[in-house]
Amino acid sequence: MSDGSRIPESRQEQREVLRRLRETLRPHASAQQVIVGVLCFLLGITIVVQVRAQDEDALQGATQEDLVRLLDESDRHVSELEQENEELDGSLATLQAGHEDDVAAQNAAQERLEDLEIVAGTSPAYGRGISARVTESTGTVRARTVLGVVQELRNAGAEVIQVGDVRVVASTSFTTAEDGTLLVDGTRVPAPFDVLAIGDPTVMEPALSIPGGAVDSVSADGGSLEVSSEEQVAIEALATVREPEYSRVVK
Amino acid sequence: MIAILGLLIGIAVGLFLQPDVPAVLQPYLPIAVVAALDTLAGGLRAVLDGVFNAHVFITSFLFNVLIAALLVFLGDQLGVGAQLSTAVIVVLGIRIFSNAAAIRRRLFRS
Repeated sequence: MSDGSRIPESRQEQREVLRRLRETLRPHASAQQVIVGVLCFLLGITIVVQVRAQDEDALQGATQEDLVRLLDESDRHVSELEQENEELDGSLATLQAGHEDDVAAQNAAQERLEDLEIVAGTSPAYGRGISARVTESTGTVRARTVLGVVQELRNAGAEVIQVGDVRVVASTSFTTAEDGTLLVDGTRVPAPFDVLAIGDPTVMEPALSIPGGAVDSVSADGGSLEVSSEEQVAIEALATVREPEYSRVVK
Repeated sequence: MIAILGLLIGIAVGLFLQPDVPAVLQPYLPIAVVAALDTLAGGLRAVLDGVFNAHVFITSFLFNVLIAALLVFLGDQLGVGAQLSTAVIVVLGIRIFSNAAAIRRRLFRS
């Protein structure tokens, strides 16, 4: 093969080169030309096939080494993903546990809220208890006597108390109006009225009827107290809660 | 002329028939194509030099393709297939470039 640095020196030589090119491009029907054509034909097919294979699937043309490397890489990727999956599973379990704790805390808070609502008198309550009817026959039942009845009930373990239509809570007052009518928390409660209490009736009923107890003191005021135990006492009167004006929670 | 026609017809047939290559030949095909292109470039240069010989062209075409494929096969067997393929491609690429440069010098006077 001659070296590639030879440059045509004259115009004539240049023409000679171009003539050779034209000569070659002119079709000859010689066997050699046909064979060269066939080889080029095969080359054309091969190029197209190869380009097509590359388009279809990059892996098809890859060598064994490349394939092994790709396999290794995907294996590593899979193990990384599995590890990540485990971590995410762990955090999911943690979060679920935390959620369960939250639910438990919320349930406890809800129960406590209900208890406090009953104690504060802001929600209706029902349960076993007693119903005591106060009537006046000869005299007037004094406020302190009714307060005594309520105290007796509290001593006997009453959880929720209602006098007339008024819910009795920690701050409930028992006073007397100018005309002698009983005032519970400022609400007139004229006789006859009912005292309802939720608690253990087998304790509260005897507590009211002991000698010198509530029944006797109501009788001394010229009234009567009829106590009956009930399987289902519904206390629906509600107390209003005032915002504490002076008190602050100690922290 | 017949060569160019053959190339074009080959591309057309390849596009039209979409033949499948046996999996065994898959790795050798790209190298064979590059080797054939190198031979084509060398043939064109010989034509312009006025020393073209069809016998030489045909044998060098077949030999180049065979040797290129053989080298890749050998490389695969030795476990250096990728590197040897790269080496063959580089050498053939350099040859194609130098042949193309020679052709250019003959066609266009600097």
